[in-house]
Amino acid sequence: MKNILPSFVCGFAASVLTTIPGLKEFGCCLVIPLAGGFTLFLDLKMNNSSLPIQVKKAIWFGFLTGIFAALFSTSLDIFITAITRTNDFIETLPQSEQIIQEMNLGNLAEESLKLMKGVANEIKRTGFSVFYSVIILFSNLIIDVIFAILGAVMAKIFLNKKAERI
Amino acid sequence: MCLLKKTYLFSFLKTDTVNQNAKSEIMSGKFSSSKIILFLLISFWCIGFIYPLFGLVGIFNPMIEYFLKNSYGNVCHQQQDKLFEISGIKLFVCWRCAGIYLGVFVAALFNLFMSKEIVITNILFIASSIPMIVDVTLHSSGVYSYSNWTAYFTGMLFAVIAFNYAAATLENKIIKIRGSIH
Repeated sequence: MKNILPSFVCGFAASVLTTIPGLKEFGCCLVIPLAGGFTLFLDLKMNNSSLPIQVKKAIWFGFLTGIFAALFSTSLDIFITAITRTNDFIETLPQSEQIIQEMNLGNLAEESLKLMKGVANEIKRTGFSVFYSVIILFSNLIIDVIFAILGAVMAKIFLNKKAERI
Repeated sequence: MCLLKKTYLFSFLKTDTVNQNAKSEIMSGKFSSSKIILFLLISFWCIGFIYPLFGLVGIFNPMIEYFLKNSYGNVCHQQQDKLFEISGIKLFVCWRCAGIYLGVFVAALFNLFMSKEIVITNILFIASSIPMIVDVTLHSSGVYSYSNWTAYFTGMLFAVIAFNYAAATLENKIIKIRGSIH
């Protein structure tokens, strides 16, 4: 549990920061990598881990942070959608429709659009859609894990170089 | 033939000699497979955010579009007036993020042909992020209005330094993973 706690804390903090619109505009692309990096720092402080940090460890901590960040941000997104019964998905749907109509992109695109309209109606009626939830969960998982790992690897290099100098 | 051998992704690399091989491959600065893998991964990432341009050649799926838009939205604010634009088509990321990703792409491309490893110090790494942070802070506080090119180049500067800062470690890890597969 002690090994997971830094990732849990940083993942949760990152998910909250990426959900709040005002904060998202300021440091959107840095929040997840910083969370990944801060996990290692927190691990050093909490668990008195030793330096130098191994790449394997940095990747594992980054991976965990990404997973937690994705799970929390997806939960928050679903929760907010359930309350408001609207989200980015519904708001951007008319734009996709317009592109398909302007460019005449064929049957496959139109079929996908039909499916998406169904999802949008479901969200408007009930505030929840399994399809939408799965899509955002997967996209959050992929991106958050990649960026958190990158952040953790950067932090590992930074902390190791700092320790070398001392 | 020699190049083909080096680009061959699943060469016979024993686990116990992985560290030594990884080190020699990176330090010699050859046109190594780990550099190519890293470059391909970065290219793949960059192709993702230019997906709206595929509409020009008749490739467009609203579901893929939403999936990618949401994915890149996790790491970019995607404000409409700040989105990177080519031929009037808005891509999935803002000018700053486009600068960062294209900066990493350019650095990875140069890295393919570099004969020596560039060592970036912690101070230089932090210093490279200062123009970007200053730009964000100043335009957010209303000192000056948002400039696409300032955002783009400050992002790019940071990306080039950050890539070189982490490249050797990432390449080393790629070789280790390849080695452990065999």
